[in-house]
Amino acid sequence: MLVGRFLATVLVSTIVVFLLLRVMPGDPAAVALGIQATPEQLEAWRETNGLNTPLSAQYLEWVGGLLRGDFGTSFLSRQNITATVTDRLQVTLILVVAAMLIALIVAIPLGTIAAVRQRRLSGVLVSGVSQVGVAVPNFLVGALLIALFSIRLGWFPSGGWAAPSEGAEFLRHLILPAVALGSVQASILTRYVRSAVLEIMREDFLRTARSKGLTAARALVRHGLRNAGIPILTVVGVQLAGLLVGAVVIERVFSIPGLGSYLVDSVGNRDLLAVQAVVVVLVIAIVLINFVIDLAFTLLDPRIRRAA
Amino acid sequence: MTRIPTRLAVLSVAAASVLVLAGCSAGASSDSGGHDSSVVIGLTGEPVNFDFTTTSGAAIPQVLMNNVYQGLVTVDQQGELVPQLAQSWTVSDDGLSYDFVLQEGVTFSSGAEFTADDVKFSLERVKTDWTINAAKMAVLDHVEVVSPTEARVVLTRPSNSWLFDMGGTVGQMFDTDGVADLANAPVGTGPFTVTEFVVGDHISLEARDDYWGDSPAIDDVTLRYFADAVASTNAMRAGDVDMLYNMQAPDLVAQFEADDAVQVIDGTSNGEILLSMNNAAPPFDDVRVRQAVAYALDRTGILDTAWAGYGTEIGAMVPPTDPYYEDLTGEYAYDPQKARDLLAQAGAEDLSIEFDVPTRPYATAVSEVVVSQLAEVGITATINSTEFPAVWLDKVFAKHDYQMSVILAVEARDLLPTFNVPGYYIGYDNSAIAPLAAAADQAPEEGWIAGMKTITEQIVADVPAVPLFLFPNIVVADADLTGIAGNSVTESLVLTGLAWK
Repeated sequence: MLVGRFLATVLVSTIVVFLLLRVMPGDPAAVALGIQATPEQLEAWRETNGLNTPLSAQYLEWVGGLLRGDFGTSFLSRQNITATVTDRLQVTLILVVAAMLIALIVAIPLGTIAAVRQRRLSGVLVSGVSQVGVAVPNFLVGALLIALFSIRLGWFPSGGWAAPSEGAEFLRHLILPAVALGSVQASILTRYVRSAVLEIMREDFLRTARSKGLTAARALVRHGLRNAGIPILTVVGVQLAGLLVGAVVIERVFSIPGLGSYLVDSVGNRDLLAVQAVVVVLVIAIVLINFVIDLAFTLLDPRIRRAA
Repeated sequence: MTRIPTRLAVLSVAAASVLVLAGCSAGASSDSGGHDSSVVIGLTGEPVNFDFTTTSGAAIPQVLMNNVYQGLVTVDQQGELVPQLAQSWTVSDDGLSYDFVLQEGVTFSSGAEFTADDVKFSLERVKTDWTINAAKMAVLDHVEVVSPTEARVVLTRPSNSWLFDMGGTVGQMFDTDGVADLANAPVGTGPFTVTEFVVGDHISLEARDDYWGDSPAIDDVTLRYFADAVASTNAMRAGDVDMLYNMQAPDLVAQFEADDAVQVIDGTSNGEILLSMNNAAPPFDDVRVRQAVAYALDRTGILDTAWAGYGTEIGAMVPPTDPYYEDLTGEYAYDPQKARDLLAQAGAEDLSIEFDVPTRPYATAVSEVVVSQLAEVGITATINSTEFPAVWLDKVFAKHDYQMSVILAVEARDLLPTFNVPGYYIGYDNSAIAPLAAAADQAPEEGWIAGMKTITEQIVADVPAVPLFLFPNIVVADADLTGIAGNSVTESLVLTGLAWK
């Protein structure tokens, strides 16, 4: 059932992206060969790159490659797309996961404080700041971080990327973009944590926990947060999926070669196979994220596990 | 209350790690004093691969020409043709054959020796295998291998433009065994080799130990590509790059002008910002309407407003570095009343036109000023933002489905390729200049220059398109970096002269 739904989603997405790219204006051959190419050369290029066969044949050939794990060769770089997409996906995943971790580390305590102390200054302050944070676009945060930590203080590079194997260099390149991407998510998440905790605090079981002799804080940590976890996880899942592509803005600000940048460049170059590859990878990734979130629900809440 | 110390501990660990990481940077990116022998250059516009024989885009020769590949001749910073892999050459009296004497002891990065066989192979291959610029080798008849160090090139007719073009991409020398994977593994005789290409990020070049000429002072060059001009200036200000070449955002240059640690070079280029009009369709099939557009535009104002005054005013599509340049900036001096009169004569008052503006920073900046100036004389231009390159190439260039557009024409000596090619998107009737161009190309040098001037004047009179200004090659670099090739006279960014003070 689950596998069937997964396959159907991927299949439909392959058809949609394939057809959309075929009706998009712009001639891939002209982009590759430029303004001096003769009609014969353009035609020869289309022939070499398999754009002259019927659409159905092109589609089947592409999907056949997908099943073998082969995304084909880029029209322009002449490199294997599978390798490029794998590299780019790795970069974006690291960035997004780091940003999400930062968001969670900030949002869970702050959201809880905002809820527990909702009528005190600290709670109101946290709540207000998070509200402002939601309104600030992440590229602006990125620009401000660069201005302060790269240009003024010189602590971190203003952009670029280093592979995880480079250790400290990797972390130095990761921190600013991850903070920029995570800060806005943290604000959004703080609001969700706050409302989830407020909801929980009204529940009977929390009052029962208090009456057993637990302090308010202990009761909340032991019994409350776990229950607040479900709505928070739902939001985290949606945010993760959105960030995979949404990270492109931060990738541009920090000149990071991630998946979103590859998608934007490939669309611009009409590198059709590359665009198709990225879209399929994104669809698979989003389906997987949803699957993992579903699994996490059952871990958090035994009732869901039993129902399933 | 055991939680407070825990929280403090977490905070101090986090703070400590930030400081440690920041400390790591001190050695790596500090740019004061003690430069090593490497240079990091920031660029916009990344090559899609390394094969300029079949892939378009000036970014490819920008990296490779003069650095990885070399030609028999090259074009120096003043726009003059000078020897490179040829020690010297002589031209026969009929102008049909060129005898090149080659440098000795030249090897490709593969280790193979460079000989006259490679000259024959490389030049004849342009006609058979190239899809980019192949027309520039059309006059080639054949190449004779006289000896390993002597090659005779025979043309079908004399040509003044051919030798100059030999200093561009079509004249680059390839190893007979080195063309298997041009897109990914370039093999040339130049002082550098490509060691790494991380698409979307950077290209690394390394100086060769076995280079035949004087070794460059710099051992490693990293070319970092930025999708965004602001990101590139941030990298410069943070000291992450040593130089920004061909900056595309003049507004961002001002911040560097006052900085003593940084030099700003306003170099020349071959790129003309060309306001093109579709001469084959109304309303621009009427020369009076085109002239009206030319008179309506205050080109000084456009240069100052759109490009912060960086760049050079030109009156024709000929940059001052070309041998047949003459100052025609006085033609079509700003005169809105004359523009209105011409429009009235043409019966084209209250004209409304579509303006296809490619999605490029220069085009967006220029188009807004052009639209407001045209409005002053009664031409309502509606901006139609056209995705570049994909949609622009298809709609404007291939299908000629446009009225007015604006484009940066970056090729060297592109007057004739733009106006003397029937079926070109501008739709200019070249019947008057075609015979002049053919005669000039075959004439002796003085005749060629005089002929090209006549052609230029004819084109200016017909005003098939309005050259708005010559695009600047803005370079921002660390003040200690010397030997910067600030003029972009070919597509190449010449790295060989770079050195630290």
